[in-house]
Amino acid sequence: MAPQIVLNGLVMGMMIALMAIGLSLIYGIMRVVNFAHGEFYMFAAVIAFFIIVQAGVSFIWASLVALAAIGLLGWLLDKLVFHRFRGAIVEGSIAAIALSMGFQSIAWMIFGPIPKGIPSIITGRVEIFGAVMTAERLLLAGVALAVIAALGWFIGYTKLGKSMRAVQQDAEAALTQGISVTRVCAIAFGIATALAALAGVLMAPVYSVHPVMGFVPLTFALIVVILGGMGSILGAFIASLIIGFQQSLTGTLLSTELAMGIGFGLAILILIFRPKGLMGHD
Amino acid sequence: MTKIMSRKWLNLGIPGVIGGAFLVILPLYGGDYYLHIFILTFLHITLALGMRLLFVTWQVSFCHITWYALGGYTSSLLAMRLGLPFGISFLAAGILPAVTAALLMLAIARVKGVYFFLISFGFLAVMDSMFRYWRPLTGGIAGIKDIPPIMGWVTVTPYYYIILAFTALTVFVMYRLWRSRFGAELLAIGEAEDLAETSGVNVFQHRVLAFAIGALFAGFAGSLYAHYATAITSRIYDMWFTIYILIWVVIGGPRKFWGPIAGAVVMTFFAEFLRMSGAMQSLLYAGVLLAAIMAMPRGIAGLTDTLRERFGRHQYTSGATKLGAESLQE
Amino acid sequence: MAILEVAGVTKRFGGLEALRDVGLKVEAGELAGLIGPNGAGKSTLFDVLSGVTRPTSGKVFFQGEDITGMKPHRIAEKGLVRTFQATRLFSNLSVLANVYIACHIPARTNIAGDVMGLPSVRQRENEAQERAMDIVRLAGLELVKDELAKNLPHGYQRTLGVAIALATGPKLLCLDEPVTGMNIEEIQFMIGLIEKIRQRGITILLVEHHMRVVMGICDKIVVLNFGMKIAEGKPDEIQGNKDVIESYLGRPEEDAA
Repeated sequence: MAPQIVLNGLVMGMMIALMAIGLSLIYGIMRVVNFAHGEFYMFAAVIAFFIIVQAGVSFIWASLVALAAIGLLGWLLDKLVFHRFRGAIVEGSIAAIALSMGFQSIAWMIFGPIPKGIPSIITGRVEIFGAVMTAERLLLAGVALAVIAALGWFIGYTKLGKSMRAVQQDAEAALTQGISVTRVCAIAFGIATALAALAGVLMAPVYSVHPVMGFVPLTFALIVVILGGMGSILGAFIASLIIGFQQSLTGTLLSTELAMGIGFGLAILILIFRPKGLMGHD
Repeated sequence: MTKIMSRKWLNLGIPGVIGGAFLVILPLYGGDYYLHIFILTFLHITLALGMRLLFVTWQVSFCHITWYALGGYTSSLLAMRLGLPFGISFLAAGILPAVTAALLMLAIARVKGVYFFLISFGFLAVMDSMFRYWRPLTGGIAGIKDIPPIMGWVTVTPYYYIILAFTALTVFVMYRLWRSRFGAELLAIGEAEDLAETSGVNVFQHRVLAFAIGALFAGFAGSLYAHYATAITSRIYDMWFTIYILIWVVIGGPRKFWGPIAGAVVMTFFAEFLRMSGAMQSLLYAGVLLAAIMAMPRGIAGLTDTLRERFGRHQYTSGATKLGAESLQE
Repeated sequence: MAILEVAGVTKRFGGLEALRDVGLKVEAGELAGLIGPNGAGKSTLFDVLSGVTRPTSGKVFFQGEDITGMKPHRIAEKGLVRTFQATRLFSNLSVLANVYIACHIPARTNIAGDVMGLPSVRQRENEAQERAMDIVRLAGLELVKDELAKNLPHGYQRTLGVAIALATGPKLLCLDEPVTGMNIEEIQFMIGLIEKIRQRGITILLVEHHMRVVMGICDKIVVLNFGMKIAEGKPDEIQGNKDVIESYLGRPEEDAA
């Protein structure tokens, strides 16, 4: 049973990581808690659904379109809405909440309340060390891991990535170094939403698509970001794995209902002893 | 900006008296539906005022609704399982959340800003799990039904009056707190916590008190609601409700006393008005909310400040342009 | 007995020694100045005195009591209050409110009494308001008393910072670069304020770069360089002191022993 729990935990952790890293990135660079993050996840799945089911396009192309669209949407939202709330955490949160409500309504109207499915990408099961997993989920986890690794390289080694880190540490200082903070923030927002979009399209064939599907991923992302520390990408990654394992463990041994409550309890406990999360700034 | 120097008991003025008279006479003319809306509005006012207390110290509590829920469950269970009279249930409904809040705060008062926000969200989620799954105690998702009425009242009107009275009392107490040294110090903590600390303000104690007092009133309100509605379920007390409370405080304007009151009134009536427009209501609410926060980041109460900063030019008080040796008069 | 006694204070941050075996005494009622080139350790010493940092070794005595390593607000309660270089104010409160907050009566806050309007509480608060107004007048800010702190010009803001510190009723006031960034007129005013504070019997310890101010008003000056005390004495003694002059001008060919 242990390998199964570990494998489940890993896969789940990867999915959560995609959401949590984006959330942490947005907060780290802009000091905004993006409560609408789940809706980017959801919209990507909805877009992919329409493209695949209505237009019959293959999954890969549909995903790319969805990713691009959502990334663009995120970039646009920063330029239009969130840029004025930089540093104003409470007001920014309200704006994000408003967007979240609005997006859910729009999705409700164009998609309808009934969950719909997307055909699987690949079929078959894979066995690793006695643990069984659908090939699909393993593929998704692999893609997620690859993307996260690419992001890590991007932030660590490219000029834009370094600019982002500079802005995260001290936006004013970054400004004096000639970094266009506005541009960096907008791009970061786009990247973060694209990550959420990726999670959305990856998960769509596994679960189903419906307007409120973003709520649970958002909640998990929040738990993880509490635990890992707001603004720390590495912290978000590590915390995602921890929560992934915890959910898998609790879900298997106790019940899935309790799993989320326990996950939160764990995060709170750790926060009491380390008030800034495992690796938080600020 | 506070006029902390004003020690008036309650600055009502003519509008206040007229408004008060209107509220008192309303049941004679309004039907049950309208009374219901006002009842909800009154309760919302007390929730918004209670949450604002800690809010000004830059700790945003995302679990205010949990106190409301605890109040409702406590009062119902005490009345139904132990047969206690309403008065006792009501008091317990306030005290339990207040004590819980104080204890929770002991653990998390050190936690700053965003983390406090998220931790309180965590607390809400944990308690929500408990409300939903501890069926023997809370009735689970189905909730509790047939909660005994207050003093056997079965019409809406007496509930209207008792809740109006409770709200008036809450507003009064909150106003006195706002104008007291305690209130001024809470604002100071929000402005510059380290300076407040070195100026002798006991930040920790103030935060615990603000949190507990907010919880106390939320618990009382929860009890009143439960006995009025005669049925409660965990779905009433979900995350969205706590978001609404936050919206009332922020849109109303947390920095002036009457801000949260305005926020609760405007948004509750607005939501009710939207309900009549059917399917688009969520979208409209979201749209208006977004527009509101973008146009009035300081809330309705801060509108004059926001407008002045956008369009006006600041005027210094006359005479204070130079700092010179002549002004030393000692 | 000296009101402040610093004995053998050393502070190391990792490998860096910010303070080395620093000792000094300040007598009650004195106006003492602390000077030294940039990086000499003046701010670190202030941090140690006010409890912001714990010294690696050594002790600080205030009014005979060992306050080494105490928390900042406890030290402030005892009567050692400091201002900060980056002026900290309650930005969205009025000038008068800023000072009022700091006007604490040592007795515990009686919130319930305040809400119910108990006469004793009301009187206490009236007294606090009067005291606040008195200090606002002393600081020359009465014309702007209702102005929001954030709207004040820079010089007024620094004065307000001093006023707030004053309002807590300190016995020893540690001023961290009070006249930095001020013009001549503002400096003149601040000197006047410092004099008036001194006349009230409050001891003052001043960190400042502005030499003329320091030499002009201080009874005694302590000079730091490289974390060590290199001189202590009256202004004219310090002015003629070779080590002091060297530490400011520097001698490139001299190597550190």
